[in-house]
Amino acid sequence: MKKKALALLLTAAMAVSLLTGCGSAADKQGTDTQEGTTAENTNTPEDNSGTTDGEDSGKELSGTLTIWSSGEELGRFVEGFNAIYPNIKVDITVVPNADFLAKLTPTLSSGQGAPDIFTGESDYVRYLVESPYWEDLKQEPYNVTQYTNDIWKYIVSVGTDSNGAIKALSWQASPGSIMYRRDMAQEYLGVSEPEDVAKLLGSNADMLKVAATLQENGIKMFASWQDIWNMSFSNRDSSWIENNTLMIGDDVLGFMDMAKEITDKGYSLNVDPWSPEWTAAVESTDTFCYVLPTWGYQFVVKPAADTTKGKWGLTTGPVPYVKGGTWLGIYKDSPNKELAWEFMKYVTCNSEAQKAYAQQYGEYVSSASADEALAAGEGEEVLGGQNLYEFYNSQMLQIPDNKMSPYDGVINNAFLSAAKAYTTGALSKDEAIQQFKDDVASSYPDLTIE
Amino acid sequence: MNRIKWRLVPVYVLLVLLLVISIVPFYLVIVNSTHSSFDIVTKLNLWIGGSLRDNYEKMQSNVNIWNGFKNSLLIAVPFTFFTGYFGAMTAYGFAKYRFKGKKGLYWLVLCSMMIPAQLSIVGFYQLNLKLNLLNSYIPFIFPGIANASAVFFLRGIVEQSIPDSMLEAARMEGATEFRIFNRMILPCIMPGVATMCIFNFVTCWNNYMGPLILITDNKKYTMPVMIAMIKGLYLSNYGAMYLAIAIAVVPIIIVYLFLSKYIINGLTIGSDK
Repeated sequence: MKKKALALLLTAAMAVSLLTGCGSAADKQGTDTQEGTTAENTNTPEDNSGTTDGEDSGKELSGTLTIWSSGEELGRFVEGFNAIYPNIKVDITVVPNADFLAKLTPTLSSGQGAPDIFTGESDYVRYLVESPYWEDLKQEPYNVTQYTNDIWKYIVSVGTDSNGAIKALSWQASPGSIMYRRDMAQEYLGVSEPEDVAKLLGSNADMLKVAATLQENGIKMFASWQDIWNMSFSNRDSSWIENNTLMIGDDVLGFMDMAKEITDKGYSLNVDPWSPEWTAAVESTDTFCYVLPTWGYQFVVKPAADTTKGKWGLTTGPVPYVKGGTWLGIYKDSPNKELAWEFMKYVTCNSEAQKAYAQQYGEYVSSASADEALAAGEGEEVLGGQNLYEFYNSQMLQIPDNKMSPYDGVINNAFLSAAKAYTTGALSKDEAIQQFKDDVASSYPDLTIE
Repeated sequence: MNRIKWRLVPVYVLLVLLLVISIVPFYLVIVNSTHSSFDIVTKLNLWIGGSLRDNYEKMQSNVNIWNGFKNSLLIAVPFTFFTGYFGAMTAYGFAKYRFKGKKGLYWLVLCSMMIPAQLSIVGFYQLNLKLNLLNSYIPFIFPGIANASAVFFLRGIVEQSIPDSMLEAARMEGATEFRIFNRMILPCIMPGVATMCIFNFVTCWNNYMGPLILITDNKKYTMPVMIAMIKGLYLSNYGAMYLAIAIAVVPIIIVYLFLSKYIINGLTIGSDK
């Protein structure tokens, strides 16, 4: 219900934005008597517009930068940024990801109180990239192309719209992995090193064979079968939407069968990702692996590993993949574009800043040179000394092209909930597929669904 | 003596059981607010833990919860007052006065109850944009004057508990219509008004979508919006969230304790003497 309401809201908001236009934006700001963000935004000194680039001019720039972010990581860059630009106050509002578009869309369509920079999570970043709200960074004065050589291609391709304009970039990259327990692999599979385990997981059929072996010993292979979707999602034959038509290929149907088999044979804990049981499985004695990209290590395994420190490893599954991530871009009508660009440049294009950030938080970053420098460093204690940058760098070279569509978040949720209904036996396969189509149709009535 | 006691045992057992069921969630919120996020997701915590300070610092580093608390009070208290007073006034009008179009108007009020809030939010945003009321609390407070559910509920109470003879007596004594309402009607239907106030205070206090969309200045966010902001995208700051929820529950309990006095008193007051 909630999703449908949100979809309806968005459609309405988009329609309204067409009618209102942005002609009255200027006088709206003039009449705004609230001491809100608009008032603060006008503090930008105009005389600084000549100075750009370089850290010497940092002290001359001043003002307040308003940022809306769906995650909290962006806030970690502020300290380093303020060391160079002490007079720029960065004001970050963390808006819950589930409600991010609901809050953002009406604000952007009216232009009142809009942030200077806003993020787009992978679930809907393509929608924002194709919308007219982000500044094209290829243009003057940004000339972003001088920096993009050092940024992983995938990150740039997601932030590029269908006309070739670069609208958004990210500080993170999220290539995939299988995070497995070395001790269990040694005991039940006879090998423990990532390369050896990878050989056992060469195809989906092989993965299920390993799952059967573990099952005989009372071990569940997967924390949740829904994690495997991270991998399958990135390797689909086509994106969810091609030519305005919902695509349900054989690979998607095959995933449903695999999910069914995993559930029927008890190869997983049968819980949803991010549920308490799922998180607790990091410290379990009976769960073998998570199929998660980089952020899974930073946010799930690393913080929870206590007695299992050193017992984890990163390896590859049947196919390399990439999933998730958060991009950011500059609002096209922001009065603080210059400040916004300095911040964005610092976060997404500054290899040194990203390196320092990665060292502190263990996150895999979008700057290839930073990742390469870190690959030469020490390994992770939790991973038994394995260097995660070295591992993910090799993955980054093999990941498939971006297969994202504007509505991935909603469509993925609809698909996983239909697949779940099929695995539990609540629906037959045909009924589940029909439910999936119905859900997508009610969220996006304009799509053709066959 | 003994016999009576024994008969009461099952009643008390039942009451104690109900008490436990009602209190356990509150207790768990308070206990969990003193545990780390990892403990919360992995264990069932029954006793106070040692992470209260960490949780508090994490919560305050994300949002300024006391500011949100103040903002929520600034909205919820006037809203509740408006709902109670003007709701009762409108209900009294519908119940006791005869005028043209009364039925039609009453139906209009009832119909407005049936529109789901999610449907009107975009229109509500556009309206407030045109009125220059974004980032203000007025859009959340003033609609309290026209609260359909309060009118519906209180109209029934006025009809049942206020006999026409009472109004006639007052008019004969020379009281103005406004005075009749303030001095006679309102005190008589206080239990109903108090009940409506509790409901509406809770609804208003928990309003999330409205402030989330209409307010863009982060100094003006309300409690529910701030609680949602504590929960990150990947990180789940459950401990800090529980702490914020524990703080958010306090006014609701106070309002209930304060207003329930009127409900209990009201039941024993007769009006038509």
